[in-house]
Amino acid sequence: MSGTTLKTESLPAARSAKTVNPFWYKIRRNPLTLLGLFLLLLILLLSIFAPLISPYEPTKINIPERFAQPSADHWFGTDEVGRDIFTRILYGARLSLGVGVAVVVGAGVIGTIIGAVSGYFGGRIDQLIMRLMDIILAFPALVLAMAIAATLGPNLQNAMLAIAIIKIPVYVRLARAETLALREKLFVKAAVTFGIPSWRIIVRHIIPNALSPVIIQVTLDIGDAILLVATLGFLGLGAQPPTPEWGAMISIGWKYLLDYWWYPTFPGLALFLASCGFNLIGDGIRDILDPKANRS
Amino acid sequence: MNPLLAVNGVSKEYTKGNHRFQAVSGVDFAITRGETFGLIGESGSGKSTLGKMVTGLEPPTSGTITYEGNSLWNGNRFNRLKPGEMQIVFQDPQSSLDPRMRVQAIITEPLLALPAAERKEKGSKERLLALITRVGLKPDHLNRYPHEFSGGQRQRIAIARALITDPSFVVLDEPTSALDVSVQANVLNLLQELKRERNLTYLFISHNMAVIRYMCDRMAVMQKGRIVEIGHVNDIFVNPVDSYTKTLLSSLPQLHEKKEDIHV
Repeated sequence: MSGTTLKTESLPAARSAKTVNPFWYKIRRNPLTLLGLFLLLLILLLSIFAPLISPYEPTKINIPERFAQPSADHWFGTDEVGRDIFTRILYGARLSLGVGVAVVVGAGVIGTIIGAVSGYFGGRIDQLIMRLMDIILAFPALVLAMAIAATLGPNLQNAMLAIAIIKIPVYVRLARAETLALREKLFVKAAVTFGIPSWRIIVRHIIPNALSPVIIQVTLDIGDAILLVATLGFLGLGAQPPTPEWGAMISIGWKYLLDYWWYPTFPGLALFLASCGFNLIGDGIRDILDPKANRS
Repeated sequence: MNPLLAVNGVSKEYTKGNHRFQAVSGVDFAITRGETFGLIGESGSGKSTLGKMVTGLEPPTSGTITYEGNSLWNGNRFNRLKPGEMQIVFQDPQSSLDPRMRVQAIITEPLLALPAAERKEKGSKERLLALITRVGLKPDHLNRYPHEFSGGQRQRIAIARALITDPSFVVLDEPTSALDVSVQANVLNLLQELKRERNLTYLFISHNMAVIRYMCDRMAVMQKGRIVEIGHVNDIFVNPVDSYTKTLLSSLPQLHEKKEDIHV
């Protein structure tokens, strides 16, 4: 919120780090959040500059160099058809980050709209929507995602759709709970007395004011979504080879674990660091935006 | 003279499971154009519920409310006669302004309900600037957020918002109850001046006898959902009939005692 920045021109003495940028000040005090931020930036930069960092192509087959050990030429070794694993991890990061963010943001947007509408109007529509969400939540997330992905056909788009569907109910519930509280606020009642149509009240007042918990949930969920994409890839229900996707790489690589330990290990490590980074940042943002959960 | 707003036999019953609560029962009153009509009673007396029914937030269980002769409620449907004709100022300016909107967006919001041409005309920059200075704020306040203002200033923003559509009728639901005493007088004076300048008609809801006396021409005293006494403010203050009205008046020791001193 840019509006909360205090005016400090007239009070030079009060111009400390705390007042200039309170958000950054709080992040700096939390080493774990800082670590998460560092991990994320690292992965982001590596994936953006992948073609500059690595001379190899992620899908180019080079049989003579298959199963090369980690070395100066191939930092993380090569796989069963001689592709450089480090290169594939870099390009895989592009895919995982992009897919993770897209899926969760998509689920967040759709879920927030459904939840706001459901909570605002109440009554039968609300009951119907919420029972539908309960049905989705009743299944173990991964099982349902697998079922949806398998039904639609194994490819990346369907895996994304499946993960979005299992993520939506959380956002519907969050947004609905906020909406129920906001509906009683006087500024919403005032808008009703002006004669402003309901959809416009939802867009102008309800959704903007219900957004903070949704944003926290999005940052917490991205790591989880990356993990789910990899899981579906590992099970053969997500991205298909030769796409450089972490889960798919581990899926093929684990068979070679005993002889060529580097093949599944490095993609697994990348996955671990990426989901870890997002979770740390999610926790940090929650601590900052939710003063009641403050640790000190 | 035809009343601007007429409330006839209006009742409001809330049901929660088997529990019934009669918030308003069989209330009649009429407000003529240009007057300030006061509605006074303790909390829970149904005065705010009446305000909600007049402004379209709650449908009455029975009875009719007419504005310029046209019924406001058709069953549970609110007939909005002309957008912007009637506005409301709420008690708590902390919660009646959206914290995520700038003052300009807040004040011009009621215009969204108007037809495009009228919206353009009434939302002109000159009108907005004139209005914001009229209620005692500065033009550069338009770009700020509500949390940057004091309670009195916020209520001025709420008043500007109510007046942007040029209403004829304004419901003031305890507009000064949440304010500091020193600020209350300023806001009340502003409301008085605006009423004179713009030929407004007020329905003034309050629990404060002194405020009602200062603001209103006629008043109705409500207790437990019923009107126990209705009449001109001076008559009621000088010669209260109902015992509850007398109790309310005795809550104003200074006024009352002085009067008795004169009589004795």
